[in-house]
Amino acid sequence: MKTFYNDDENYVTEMLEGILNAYPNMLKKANGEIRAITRTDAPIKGKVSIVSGGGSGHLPTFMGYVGKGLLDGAAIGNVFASPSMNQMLTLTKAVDGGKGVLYLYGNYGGDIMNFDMAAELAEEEGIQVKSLLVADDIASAKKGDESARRGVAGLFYAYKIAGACADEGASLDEVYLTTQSALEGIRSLGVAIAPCTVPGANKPSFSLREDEMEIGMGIHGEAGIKREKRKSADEVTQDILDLLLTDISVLEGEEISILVNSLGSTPLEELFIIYRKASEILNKKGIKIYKPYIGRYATSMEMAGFSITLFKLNERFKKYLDYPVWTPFVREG
Amino acid sequence: MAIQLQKEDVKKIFIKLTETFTKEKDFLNDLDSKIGDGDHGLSMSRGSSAVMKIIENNPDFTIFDMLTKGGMQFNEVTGSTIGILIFSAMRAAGLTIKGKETVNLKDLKNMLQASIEAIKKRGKATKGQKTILDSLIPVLEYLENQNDKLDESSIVKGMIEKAFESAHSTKYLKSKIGRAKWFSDRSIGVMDPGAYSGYLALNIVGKYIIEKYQFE
Repeated sequence: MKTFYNDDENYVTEMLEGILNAYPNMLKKANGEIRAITRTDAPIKGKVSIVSGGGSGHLPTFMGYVGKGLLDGAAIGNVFASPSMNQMLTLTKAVDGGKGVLYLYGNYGGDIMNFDMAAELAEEEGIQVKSLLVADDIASAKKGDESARRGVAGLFYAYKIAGACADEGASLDEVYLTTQSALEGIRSLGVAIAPCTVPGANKPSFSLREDEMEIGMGIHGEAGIKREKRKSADEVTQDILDLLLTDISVLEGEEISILVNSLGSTPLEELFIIYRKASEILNKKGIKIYKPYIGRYATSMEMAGFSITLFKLNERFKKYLDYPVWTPFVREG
Repeated sequence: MAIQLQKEDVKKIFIKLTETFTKEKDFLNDLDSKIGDGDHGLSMSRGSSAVMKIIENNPDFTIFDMLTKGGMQFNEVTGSTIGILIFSAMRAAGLTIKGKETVNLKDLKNMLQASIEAIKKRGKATKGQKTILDSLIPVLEYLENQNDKLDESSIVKGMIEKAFESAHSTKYLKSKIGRAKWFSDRSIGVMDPGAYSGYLALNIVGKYIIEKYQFE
């Protein structure tokens, strides 16, 4: 694997320094801690703060979404490893504007343990914290066991809803409940055809033969539902949508947003070939696409593959999707 | 001579732990890449180096400080599941000997017990789920079953053997928790890297004691 980094020990720090150099008017360190990044205008008095975080290796998740209309801050760990409890706590204190903090992050053990301990200590210091886990990946646990699922690209939609709702002045409980109800209609499924290598590790985190693909592969290389012979873009897109629409019912005439996400090295061209088929299938079923997102939203470094996320909409969620955001990697409205 | 570890001993143990986890980094990464994401060796070597550094930079640290502040430092540089679990375990172990200047075999058993409880609570884990607990719990049970007549030398040697055997027995377990759970069936046949790290740590402590007291 050919790469451009100087030293695996400094991989995360140098990446963060680069991001801070690139967006000095949008991002800053929380209390001098480079692994706890906040928007420059934090803390915002009288607004519920939205905090996320997790391991590095998923850009633009998480730092790319810190800014107006999305996150107030993100705690960043090593590649594919949760940030520390102390980084989360530092961040929480730096962003709290007196109205409480919502921890909104993917359902992974390390993140949960660190965020839970940070929440306990923040509460001891008088900061109100609520935690909401994103668990949108249908490959990672069967229907009926949704709470065991991993969080993947659906995080982006969760940030959109929570961010807009908080900006409107909602209370911590309202932001929590609104985002939770949005999550009930968010489902993702991915497919991988080539792995990535964690800096410092001497080989890829999994292996797939040239003629194989794995449906449901997680964004850290967790095993998926099935390994099979590679298929054409149209066939894989059909399979993935079939599985998604079995997991969540979307009726004719209902509206959804769809996110076609590259896991890293799969190019935009291929994403649009996939989107072409996906939109065709949805149109045929009479399902309306309100707002498609196509690009790199939640990656796994140089992993090749893509994921599709569906988000069932109502009028309120549509309004929140249209809410302006201004962050390093997403600028809308 | 009865086991009495001073803070200098504990410091030397942390130096040896760092050496060991640095040496075993690739082996642990390999195990982890079969049932997880392949970074366990990296976390352990990074984390233990950070603990050693803060101990070396603070000669006035008590054993309690080494464990609690060292543990916080481990979590700081590795984050992750293993980082918070080891922080919780070291902190809990430290609290059991707060104020003490030396640590005897009974203290070591209490520290192990507190560590296990902390890992269970924070990780919501139990025995048999293919985790670090599967090398630590059998050792605690073994220590609890020793009558006072057995000499400390035999107890420490038995502890090392028990840890070795239990870590290797995790091969036959199926991952039921954490990221490795997603590898479920594929995890059978692979030793759990966390359990192996548990063995490595207990082995270092045991070997250090054997060497210091020159048990035959």
